[in-house]
Amino acid sequence: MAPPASSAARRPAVRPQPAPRRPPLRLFESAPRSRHRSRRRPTVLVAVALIVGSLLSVVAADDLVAQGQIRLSHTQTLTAAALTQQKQLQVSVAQLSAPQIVVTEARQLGMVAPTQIVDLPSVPLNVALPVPNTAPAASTPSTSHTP
Amino acid sequence: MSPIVLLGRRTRALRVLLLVIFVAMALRLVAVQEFSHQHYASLSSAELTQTVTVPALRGGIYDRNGEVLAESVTKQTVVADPFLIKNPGAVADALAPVLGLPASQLRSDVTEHSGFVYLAHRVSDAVAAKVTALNLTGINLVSEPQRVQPAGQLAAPVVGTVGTSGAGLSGLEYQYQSLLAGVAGTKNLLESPNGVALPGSTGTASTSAKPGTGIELTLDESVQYVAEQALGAEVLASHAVGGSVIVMDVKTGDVIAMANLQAATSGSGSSSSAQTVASTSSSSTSGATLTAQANTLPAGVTEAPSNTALTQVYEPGSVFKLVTFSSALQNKVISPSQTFSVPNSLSIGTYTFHDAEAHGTQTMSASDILDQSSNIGTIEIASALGETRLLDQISNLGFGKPTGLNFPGESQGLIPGASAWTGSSIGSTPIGQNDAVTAQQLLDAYNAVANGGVLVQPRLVRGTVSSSGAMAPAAPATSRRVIDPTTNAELTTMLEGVVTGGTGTAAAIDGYTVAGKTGTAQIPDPSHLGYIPGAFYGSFVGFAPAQNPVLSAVVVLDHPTPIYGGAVAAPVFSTIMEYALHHYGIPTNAAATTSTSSGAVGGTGTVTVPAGAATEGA
Repeated sequence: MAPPASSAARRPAVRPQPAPRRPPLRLFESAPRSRHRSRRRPTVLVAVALIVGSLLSVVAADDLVAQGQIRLSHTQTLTAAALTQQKQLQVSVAQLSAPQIVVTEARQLGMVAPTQIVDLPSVPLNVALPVPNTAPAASTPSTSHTP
Repeated sequence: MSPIVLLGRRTRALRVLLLVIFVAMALRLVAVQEFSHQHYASLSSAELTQTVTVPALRGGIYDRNGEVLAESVTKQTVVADPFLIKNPGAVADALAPVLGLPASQLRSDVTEHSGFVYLAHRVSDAVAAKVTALNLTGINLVSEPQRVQPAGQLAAPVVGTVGTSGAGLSGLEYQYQSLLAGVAGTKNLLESPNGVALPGSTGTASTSAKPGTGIELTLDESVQYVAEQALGAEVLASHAVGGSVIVMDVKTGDVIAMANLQAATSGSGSSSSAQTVASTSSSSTSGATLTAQANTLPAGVTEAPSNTALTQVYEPGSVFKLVTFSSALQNKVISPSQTFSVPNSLSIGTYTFHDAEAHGTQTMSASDILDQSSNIGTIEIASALGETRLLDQISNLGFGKPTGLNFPGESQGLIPGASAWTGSSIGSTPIGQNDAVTAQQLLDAYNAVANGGVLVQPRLVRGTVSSSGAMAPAAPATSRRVIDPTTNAELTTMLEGVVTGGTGTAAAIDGYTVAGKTGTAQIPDPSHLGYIPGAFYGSFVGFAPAQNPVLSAVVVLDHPTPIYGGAVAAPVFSTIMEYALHHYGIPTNAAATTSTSSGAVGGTGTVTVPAGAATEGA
């Protein structure tokens, strides 16, 4: 073992410079992020808002269509019911106006069939009717109504 | 090779592989979504939906004034979905009193291993409301069409019947089935994988049902009613087996009324009553009771099971003498005033022919022979006319040929040709005892005389009625001249004489001139040669007013007592024709003379049956 040297002798005159640090190992140089991110953020927000808004619009439109379908279905049901009722009322009217019903009702009201039907002679409309005889009888004295 | 290089190669290979996989998936996706989507959609739809048929509402049948004779209405049918019913016993007990069915039967129905079971078909509205009010899970109402006849059995043999499936079975319902039925639609219902319809699934209509087209008949409900009443009363009074009446518009050939009745036997009466009850009870609520109360016919008479006026042939008897006289007049073989020596009987071949009433040999004019309906005199005229001309006139007047109505089961008659004639045929044919004809054919021939010698084809349908109510008129009836005008005028005068002083005086109508002919014909025995002793058809065919005919009619009674057409059929003709003439406002002779002279009814004084516009009620 060598004798210990003095501290000055053992200290090198020039402290050796540390080896230059190697840059961190990177396969790709990353792009400067912060600036791009700040630029893209509004675009992304708008896009997301548009997508969400579109989805909400579709949902709202679908809801409107569904409501319309329900109203249409309800109206169709009402129309079908009204048509059925109309048919049934039509049949009821036909039943009430059937000849046997009319005759039965008439008999119950005391009506009878005519024993003889006489046709009145037709009066021509293009010939003036004779003037009714309104002259007073000869034996009747005329009276004056003058005040 | 360094590991770095190797890694790079593997990475590239992986990228290529992934790219190929993604491209393949994309291509497959495009193929499925773009080119095969319908196939897969249909496979999916088949798994999830069931297609049910939506029946089309059948078209209605109306009279010439638009009155409903047959109409379809929607009724409710009670059905069950047993898969949804948790307590079948309670459901059956609740439904039994409402539906009027045994609880045991309902319990059996609602425990079937099925998703759809019929419980009661076409219930009344009141019952449907009660079922709805019960609010039973698994019990539903579905709509089904129901055929109703608001006028009951009026003209039933003509209108026909419809089966439970909704198809026409007889009459016009059968003849016009394709028109009346419409086109059924389809509906897709969502269902579970085991085939049960999903509750609340209203379904989507794939094709909508197209309602059937209605038909408007030439019949007039009021005249039809009067015809049936008058015929029914006579069937009862004369103890006849049945009878037929046809009333026709002379100019157009429109059949105004066509009645077919039979005396009610125990079997037929009950079946007819059952039909009436079925038609009324299943109809709507308010009118059903009234229809049941006032059914059309007198007790003891029912509607015939078929339209015998068109489907049944009979030997017409003396009404067939029209053929002999029209041909003899037209061929100048006779004149109305020409006289003949007429004995009481005449032997031809192996048969001896007689007149209806015994008399000595007498001199009769041709008019007298027709007035008194002398068989011997008619045979003498036919002998002078000859077989060929007689057969020609039979064919010329439409006997042995279709009438053109094409009614289901209609007969064209049985007319033996020259080859089938026997030695006695020249005796039996001219008096209507060798040929078989329908009542319609007989009326057509007399209607030709009423129409100035022009045979007009009869019509039962005036037009079609769309579901929106619009009417499309049918083509007018075709016509052809069969008797020359001079002969026709002579024949009309001779037929008028039958009513004024011959065998048909009971057909006279106050205020109107009537022309026509009576007939009393023996009925052949189908099991033996010859005729059934004491069995006759009594008939009358004619038209009015005689000199300006508007309506013609035929009345036939089967097995009446008395047997004579002049006694049983002529009064029925008078009753019906009098009503019809007044109904259509046809002026009486006096009124017509006055009107014609004053020019109020037009230059010729011609009047016709109004088309679809009745002037009076029933």
